[in-house]
Amino acid sequence: MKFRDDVFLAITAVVNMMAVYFAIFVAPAEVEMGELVRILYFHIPPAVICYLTLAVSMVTGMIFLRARDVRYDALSESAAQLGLVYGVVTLIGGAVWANATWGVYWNWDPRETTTLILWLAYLGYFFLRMSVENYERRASVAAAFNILAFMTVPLSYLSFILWPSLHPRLGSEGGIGLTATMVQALLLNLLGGLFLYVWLLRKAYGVRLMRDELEKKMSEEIRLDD
Amino acid sequence: MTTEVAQVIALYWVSLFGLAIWLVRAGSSLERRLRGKTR
Repeated sequence: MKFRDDVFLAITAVVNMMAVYFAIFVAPAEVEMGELVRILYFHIPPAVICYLTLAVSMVTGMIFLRARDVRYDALSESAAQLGLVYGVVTLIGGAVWANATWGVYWNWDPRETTTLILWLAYLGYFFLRMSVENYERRASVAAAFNILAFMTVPLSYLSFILWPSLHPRLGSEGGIGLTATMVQALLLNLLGGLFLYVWLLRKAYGVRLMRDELEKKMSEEIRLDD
Repeated sequence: MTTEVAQVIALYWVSLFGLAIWLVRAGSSLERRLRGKTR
């Protein structure tokens, strides 16, 4: 198991090193944006993975509601934790890009606003978890809230179709035109990002299960002491 | 490469590396504590 983990981590490292090399040295600059287009390779992967991990969190939360197996709740919480991290990386990275192209870090663009709402909804998910003492009840309430919070994901994704937005679209008229090498660099960064995400999720899930086990052992000890 | 590109690359990699290191350290610490409890 340890050997397989190490091999997976080594593959993740190699793919990501290649992806960063491609993004910085191989992919060309864009006609209008110039060098700034390279931000794309480090902005789209965390955004896609943020949506993906929140989908994993919602689906495992729903499975928990049916199966009542606490391991699904642990996986759901771990995936949501990663969603918060990827979400904040997407928001701050996007703000830096916005400042470089629009001259302002934040301008309440529909994509920015709905992604911030998404992030706040999942921050609320963790506050909700902290507010419920009973383990079973906490997991059920969190899974139900997760289904509601997930509605912010399609809202964020479709925001620039639903409302007029400055947010550029890939390949569309007036958007960012990508050459074949740029697409390759983007896909490679996405693949590297996904490998790293799988590794992080497995680690976060493992930590969460160990924390549960330790808490169970400690409460058993307290009961025996009484 | 512009400063902004470097800032976003640093943000992405420092955050994810930081998270990875934190998870590895938390995992080892919990493993040690669990081993102590089962002994």
